[in-house]
Amino acid sequence: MNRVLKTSLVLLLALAASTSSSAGERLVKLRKLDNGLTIIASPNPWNQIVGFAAVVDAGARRDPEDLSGLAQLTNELLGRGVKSMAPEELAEILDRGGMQMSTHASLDWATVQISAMRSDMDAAARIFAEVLTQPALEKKSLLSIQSDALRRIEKRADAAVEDALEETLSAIFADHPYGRLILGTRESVESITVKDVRRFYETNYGADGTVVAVVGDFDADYALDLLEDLLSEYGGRGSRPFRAPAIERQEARTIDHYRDIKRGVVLTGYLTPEFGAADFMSLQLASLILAGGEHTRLARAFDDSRTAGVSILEGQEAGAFVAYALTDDIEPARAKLNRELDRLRTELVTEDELDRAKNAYLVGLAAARERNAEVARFLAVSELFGLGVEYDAKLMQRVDGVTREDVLLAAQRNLVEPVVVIQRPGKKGTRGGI
Amino acid sequence: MKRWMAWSALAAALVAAVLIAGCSRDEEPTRVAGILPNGLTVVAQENRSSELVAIHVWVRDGSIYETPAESGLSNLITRALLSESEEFESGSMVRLIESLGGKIGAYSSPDYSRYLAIVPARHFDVTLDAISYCLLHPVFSPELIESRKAAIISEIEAAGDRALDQASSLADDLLYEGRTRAVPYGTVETLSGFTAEQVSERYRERYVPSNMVVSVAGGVSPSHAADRIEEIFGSIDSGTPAEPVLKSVDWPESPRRATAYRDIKTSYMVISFPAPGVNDPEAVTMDIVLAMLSRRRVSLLTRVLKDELGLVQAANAGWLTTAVPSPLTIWLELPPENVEEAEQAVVDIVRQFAAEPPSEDDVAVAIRQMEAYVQFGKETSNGKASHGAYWGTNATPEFDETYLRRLSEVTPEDVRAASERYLRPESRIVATVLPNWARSGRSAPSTERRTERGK
Repeated sequence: MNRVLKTSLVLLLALAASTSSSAGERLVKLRKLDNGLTIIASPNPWNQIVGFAAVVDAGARRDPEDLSGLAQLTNELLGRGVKSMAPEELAEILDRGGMQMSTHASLDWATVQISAMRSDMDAAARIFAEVLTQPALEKKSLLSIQSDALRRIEKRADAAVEDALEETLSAIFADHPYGRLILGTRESVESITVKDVRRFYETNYGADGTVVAVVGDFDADYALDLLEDLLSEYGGRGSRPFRAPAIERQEARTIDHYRDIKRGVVLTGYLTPEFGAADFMSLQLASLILAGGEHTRLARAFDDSRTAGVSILEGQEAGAFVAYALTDDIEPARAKLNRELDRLRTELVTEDELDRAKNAYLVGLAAARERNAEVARFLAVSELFGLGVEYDAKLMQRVDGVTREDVLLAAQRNLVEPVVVIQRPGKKGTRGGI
Repeated sequence: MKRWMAWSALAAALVAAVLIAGCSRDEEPTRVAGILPNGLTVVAQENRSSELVAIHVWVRDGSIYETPAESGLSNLITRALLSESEEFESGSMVRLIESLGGKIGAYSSPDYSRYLAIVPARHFDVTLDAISYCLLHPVFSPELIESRKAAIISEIEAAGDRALDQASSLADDLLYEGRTRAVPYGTVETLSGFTAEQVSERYRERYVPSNMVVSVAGGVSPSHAADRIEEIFGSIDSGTPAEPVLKSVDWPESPRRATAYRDIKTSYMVISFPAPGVNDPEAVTMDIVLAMLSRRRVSLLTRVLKDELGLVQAANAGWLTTAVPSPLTIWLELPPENVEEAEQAVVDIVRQFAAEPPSEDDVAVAIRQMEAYVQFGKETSNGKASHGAYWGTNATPEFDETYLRRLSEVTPEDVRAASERYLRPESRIVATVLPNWARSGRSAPSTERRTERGK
């Protein structure tokens, strides 16, 4: 095997919130293969877990309109068997190695991750490569995960906040693919066949739409060589840029429900810019000023940090910002939410609030980066969507650079035309649109 | 640092062990653990790849240390403790931690209350000072206590919204039937009666060094962390170690069952069996049993109950390892018409465990599973600190280092013997929550149909 590097990039990245010299820098080596696959290796000698992540441009936004849930099912099916062995054999190998494998589909991408103890790195790499490139995609396994998906759909319907959040996002994004449910609906999931799954895989999974990263205690070149050996034959799918109609902001509206729940929930949601856009970071910080701690605005307004919060959707095409509250009394809760959202639009946040939010954001990043598989995933996502592996390191500058005025302007531009969803405790089935 | 290194040969051995394991590139130990003269347990571990530090303070106080009349008192302390102190006015300590970007939390469980802060490692000293001060000099004003009581009562009244929680609660009621015991987190009645004076009194009794563990992990020097902890806590009187009020469980000699109905679409079943406490010599063996039941990717329970018999939609098992014996529990999600058959299938599985030793290979895989579980759990600073605190609270700090070795020594016969002794089908507790329509044997309102478009 010719080990000449096709394209090689070596970076020594200063971590976003470095506090000590040992954790302050991370080596990242990147190699682009002839088949279009990008592989990334980043040594971490202080963590005995090795984390692999593949990020593929095969998220729910690529679901056919009548087959929502297809990306999710396809991604999940990857982990249920490969061509060379039955699902039970694959599960056995993972168990014997104490390996953890997970798959996850979001709106924009799908991931496969494997974590293993350092002693099992090579075995984990082989499994990882086979799951990604040679999935069995069999009917029997599909039936099993379809059944699981239908159960999750039913459970979601029983959980007020999750159900209301889905409804809010559907209303915000309307006909755009982001408005579809990642999990799908009962009807769409039931109608998905193994032929659909295989077609989705053939169309969307390929070397040129994938970035693979590995983080752990190893020599970077060894890791890159290992992955190149295993993945150099992975075929491409051809360039398929995602195209969808532009997302238009919907008019303000309110949707009311009665449900068999003990406490009501009120949500107010807004369409916001995409991941990495100019206002993106300001809105992230605004969400942390509103919620995420005992002394945030919503925690003080509701006297409890557990009953109110903010959920952020980060998409490549667009995002969403949803403030919510669990409540025994809908109208006062709604008034409190409105008041706090209005404050964001009309007043500068304080310096203390902004500093706290910046620190919280960076600490959140640092916490996620404690797991090698998550570091690998983030490196892969950043590279796949054109932000570059150094995006993590540049985040500190981006966060630091946000001013109080930026937050105010971002709120004024984006926290407008709300979609309000209310779920009231009581009888099911009553729905109102106001 | 010299004082810590002189503690004991065991400490030196531990240091050598972690150095040999390759965790440190310097001469500085990566782990320091021991017990101060006043009884405080200290565990400090380095996590060099982390920019964060996790500080855990655990106290042996929870529902197992409460009389029925005291139900919820320990949880009330947990909810109030970090709010006010002599130096920090209401909420200001939490505000300080949050201003650093950190997180702070307080949590209750049956056998410990725990307080934790996660902050950037460079803020270790100021955070340790702040959280320690609040723990050692709290102010329990009547207004604060009333506010916390109201919040907890509100949560109690909203609890049971999840059918599985209701099934678990039913199982608890069955298990402790006829015995007076504290209700975890309290009842509306007990909470309503607590005063600030009672809270203060309990605090003074329980929050003493001989009842406490301080565990730190992250991007800080363990020696420095240990020295700072000793500076803060070392001169405090040891106090009296707590003893559980309810030290044992009377398992029935024939199965106990309870059923509830509610507006749900599927059913939930909880089946509990006897299991040892965390300090029982067979506790490690039960971890292996649990791993065999539920930790494999296709767990034994899922493989048999779901894949082979088609009885359940989901199955899982767990064991809350506490200072006193607590049940090993199996949770099932299933169609109502399968509940009897599923219960019998579970009984058949546990009988098999007691009847024949598993294969060496099965035990080896379970051991590997537990090893991975521990290693993954310790990948984060918070996980590392939590492991250190858990073993320090329930056993000794050395247990954290010896746990994997003890796991590796479990034999197939150990598994069979422990299963025979504990997983007694005749003593099982079965709690089920069914859909309303299943009452009186009615059928489901609609039948699920699948359609296929081609193959």
